[in-house]
Amino acid sequence: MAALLKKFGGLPVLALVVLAIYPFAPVVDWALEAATGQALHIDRQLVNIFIFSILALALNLQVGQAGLLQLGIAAFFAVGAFTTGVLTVEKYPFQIGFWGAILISPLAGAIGGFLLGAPTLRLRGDYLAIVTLGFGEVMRIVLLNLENITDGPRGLNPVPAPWLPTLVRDAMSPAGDASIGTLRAMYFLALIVLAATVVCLKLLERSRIGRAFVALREDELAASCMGIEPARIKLAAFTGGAALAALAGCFYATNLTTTAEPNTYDFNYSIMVLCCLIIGGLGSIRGALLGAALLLGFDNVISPLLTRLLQTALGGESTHVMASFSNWRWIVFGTALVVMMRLRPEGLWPSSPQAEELHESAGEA
Amino acid sequence: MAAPLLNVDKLTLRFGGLTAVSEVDLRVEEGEIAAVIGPNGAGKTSLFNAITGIYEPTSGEVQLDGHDLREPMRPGLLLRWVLTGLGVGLIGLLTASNVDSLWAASIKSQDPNAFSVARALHDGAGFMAAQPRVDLRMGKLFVTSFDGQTTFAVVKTPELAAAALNDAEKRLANPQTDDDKATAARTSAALRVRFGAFLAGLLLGFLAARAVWQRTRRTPTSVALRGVARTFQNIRLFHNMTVIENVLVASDRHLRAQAKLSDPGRLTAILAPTALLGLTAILAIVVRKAALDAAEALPIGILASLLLGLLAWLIIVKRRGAFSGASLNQERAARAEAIELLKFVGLEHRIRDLARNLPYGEQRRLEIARALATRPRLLLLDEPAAGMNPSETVSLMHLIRAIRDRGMTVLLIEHHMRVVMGISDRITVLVHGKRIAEGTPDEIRQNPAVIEAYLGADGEH
Amino acid sequence: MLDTVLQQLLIGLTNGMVFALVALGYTMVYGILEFINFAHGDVFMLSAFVSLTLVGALGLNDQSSAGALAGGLVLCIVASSVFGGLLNLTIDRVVYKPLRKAPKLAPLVSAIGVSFILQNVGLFWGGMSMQIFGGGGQAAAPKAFPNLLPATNLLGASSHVTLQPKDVLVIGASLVVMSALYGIVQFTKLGKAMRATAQDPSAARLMGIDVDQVVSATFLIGGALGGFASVIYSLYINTVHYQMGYQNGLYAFTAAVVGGIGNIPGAVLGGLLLGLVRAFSDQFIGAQWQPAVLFGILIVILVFRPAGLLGSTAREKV
Repeated sequence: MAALLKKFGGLPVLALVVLAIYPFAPVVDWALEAATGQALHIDRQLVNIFIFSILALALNLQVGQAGLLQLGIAAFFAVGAFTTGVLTVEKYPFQIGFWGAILISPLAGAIGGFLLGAPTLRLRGDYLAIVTLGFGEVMRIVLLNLENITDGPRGLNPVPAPWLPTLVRDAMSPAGDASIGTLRAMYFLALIVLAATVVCLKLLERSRIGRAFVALREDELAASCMGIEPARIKLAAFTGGAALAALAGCFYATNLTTTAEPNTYDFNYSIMVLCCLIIGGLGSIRGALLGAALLLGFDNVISPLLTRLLQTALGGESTHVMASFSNWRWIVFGTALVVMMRLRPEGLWPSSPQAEELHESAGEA
Repeated sequence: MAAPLLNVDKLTLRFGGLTAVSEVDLRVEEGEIAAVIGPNGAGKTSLFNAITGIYEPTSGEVQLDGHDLREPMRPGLLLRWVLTGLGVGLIGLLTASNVDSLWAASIKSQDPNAFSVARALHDGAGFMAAQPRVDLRMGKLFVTSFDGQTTFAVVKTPELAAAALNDAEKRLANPQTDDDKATAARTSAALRVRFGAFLAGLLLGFLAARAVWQRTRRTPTSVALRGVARTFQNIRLFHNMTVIENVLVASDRHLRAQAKLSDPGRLTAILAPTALLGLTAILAIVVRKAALDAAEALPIGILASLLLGLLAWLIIVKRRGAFSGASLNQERAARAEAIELLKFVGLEHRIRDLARNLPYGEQRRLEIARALATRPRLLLLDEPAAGMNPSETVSLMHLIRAIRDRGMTVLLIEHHMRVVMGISDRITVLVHGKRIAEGTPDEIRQNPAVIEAYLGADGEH
Repeated sequence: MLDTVLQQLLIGLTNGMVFALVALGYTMVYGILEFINFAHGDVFMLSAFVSLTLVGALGLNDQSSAGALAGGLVLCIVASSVFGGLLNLTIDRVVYKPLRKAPKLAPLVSAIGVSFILQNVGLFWGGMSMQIFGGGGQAAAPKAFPNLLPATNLLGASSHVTLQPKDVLVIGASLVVMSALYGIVQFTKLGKAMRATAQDPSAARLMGIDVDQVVSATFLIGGALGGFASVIYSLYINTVHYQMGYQNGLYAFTAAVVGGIGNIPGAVLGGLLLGLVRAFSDQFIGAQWQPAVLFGILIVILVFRPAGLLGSTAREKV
């Protein structure tokens, strides 16, 4: 069995095949519906997980692979979402649709990343943390304040669904239900982009730049004495990560049909993404995917469930702040960060070299 | 006489009140093995760090082949600073001109009369500052001055707004009443503020770019790229990489240096996405102008430009073999070179091991191989024999001679007197950051100052 | 115009003092351990909740007698400072200490985690069913801190510049505390040990300095400064909110970086500078752009002086 799996590309390919079939045969949905009597729509959750995974991979490129402590990834996510908004909503003359936006929003993200990175990436790591954190705040404030452009707290909407050739659209929509067709289109688009991202990042890991990343993480001074230019490599990673985050933002806005309010993209959001990297394993691509799934799973499945349990235990509709489990999420995430750093700094599913790096240093303690 | 390969001229290095290196002169001729010796704390490693760009010397010069090791000032840099300045200036301009309302007036407005591009181009920013604009507020059209402080008219229909706009423009262009004059003056004041913001940004960007360049004129990277490689006293390998990867990291840089920007491969890598985006944008505009369904045409456009890009890639890149194929070839060549180097230092049996699993002596050899992979002209070795047993020391001496025989110049710091005396052509002695002697091994052995300050006090390690 | 400038100078100075006090906590820890204690801002926030709870429990308000007010204020300051110091110390002992030799990322990420836990605690604290917390119904809402000092203008009612007793209190108390800190760092044995440890922890250890004790003292003092700052901040701004730690912590850390992180006078200078810039940008650019202006200045300063205004460029040892 294991040999058979290996022959056809191993776990990643298997996962891809299962995910590609899933919307047409949502077995888990059926089983859960039979058990609880409630429809769960796991494919809808999966779209969110795919998009969030792209974002997590973007941050992983910057923090995990290039070793840049970026605490404002949400800003670039927002750049992607709002670029998509401006380029597609009816209010503006552009209206280039999803397909145009998906090309231009990563470009906008890359420009943003380059402009922020160029003057600051030569700074020490800690300073970069504070600069990116600040940039995240600034971006949120700017989006909130430029009301004429971004519609302020309301956000830009409606962001149109991607155009599809009639043939594809019909194939996607069972019994002519267009909303399911759109959902499935987003599902497959996000899945394809996620798979392509994973492949590209894997290739990058094995390339010269990937080698330079490892060298810089291990010993920046020695690496620069060997002719590697830290600032340039870091800038490339930072710009690339920003572009990827903006791409995720484009998907996010399209899937949500709105850019959402700028306050969505706050510091907490950035940390949530970082959190899923830490849980999954910093620098590990599979870890980032696992982390994204766990985190969104917690938010969308476990948290409502626990809230219901809490409410039942308290006997009815308590309005107290502690009675809703969603108010506990930062304690949960915070504790997760602290505990992970203490007990398993390499994350739940690390890639092997990173595990060695982190373990070695922890072992010296 | 030709300039020496390395010429250190009156180099001084001060940390706060402590002078680590004081007015040291050092000359290394091409093809020789030179050594720097001296007791602990004499400033030898500091000297190496100053040469390789890790420390910025307090004063003095380091020349390689008669040229200063600092990156020279080029006219291209000036252009880069100016461009940075222009970029920051633009941001300043946008900030000061209230990009929000500019956007509202020019892009968002549904009324084509609210902003005419032809006239805006005609007399530029001045026009924009004095431009009345139309705002839709609570269902009514407000015709206001650009800064929104004067309201010329409040009307209901776009036609009336267009007329009011024309009227307001005429009044501002030829102000009669005090109110009009004040509005015109205010908008020109706003213009001055914007110009000021632009200038301030320009200056700031220029100076910032210059400051960053000043700080990075001499970096370890730039020195390494000029052909000076080094090893470290306290071995600094990439411990979690394999032996061959350690060497490959160092050889990567000249692979990249070979791929110039003008190479077709790189050019395509830049041009193809740009062309693709441009084409998409053009298509988007054309499609909109032709009142077609944008959504229907765009994917076709994207597909077309993707195909075009692929075609260009096939024609230019594949034929010249500069991009993907060549990069594979380069990788293969680099691997072959790395294996050759590892054989040269005697580590061919260790290629796939992790660097940190090597014994001490082999780690030192790997560090030398890594430094050699940068194809240096000058190799600096910081205590290469430290911690080695006698037989390892002997083979190290052979290795250093072999390196010299490959056409490289070697400068080493060493405490191990047998190594220093055995292989050096010339020796420089540092004590307390000062050079007290220089000469051949025999001269140094007989130099009374050296014997007193160094050999007598410190002896052989 | 002159009045406006003077007024903004005053506002900037008072705000800057608060920033400086919080920034000191960041900079002292950074100076010794080289890590950003992200949770410091939230220690500040929780200390403010302590004094708000105290004020509520004692029933203090603007009608209380002068004696009760003075006693209550002193109690608040002491309680908040002690709480802040002990909380900071506990966090260090429980969370950061086991990670001393881990890669730099580990304590930083842990600190972010602690910061979130503390923020969540603040949210729950705001849900307390006390009168002063609004009965507990709106846990996330900002809480009003009663205006305990008279709102009279010390420069006379006719003056265009307003100088209230609370301004004097903020500036005066901050100066006293900062001078005390300076005295401790400069002249006591502990202070000398702190400076030595900041310069080279392993050398300090060889010299017989108990580095663990120095670190504990640093966290204690830094937390106490934060607690003290929280009281005067609450008195001055009259609002307490569970997210105020994040916002003010961010500004304070920026101040520390601007002044040169690890440098104690630098933190004060950076705090004052940031306070002034903030006041003037609020007046002349618009309060909604405050973070944008402050971080813009941070980037500019870091480009021209990467080590901050008073920091020295330390190079890595090779």
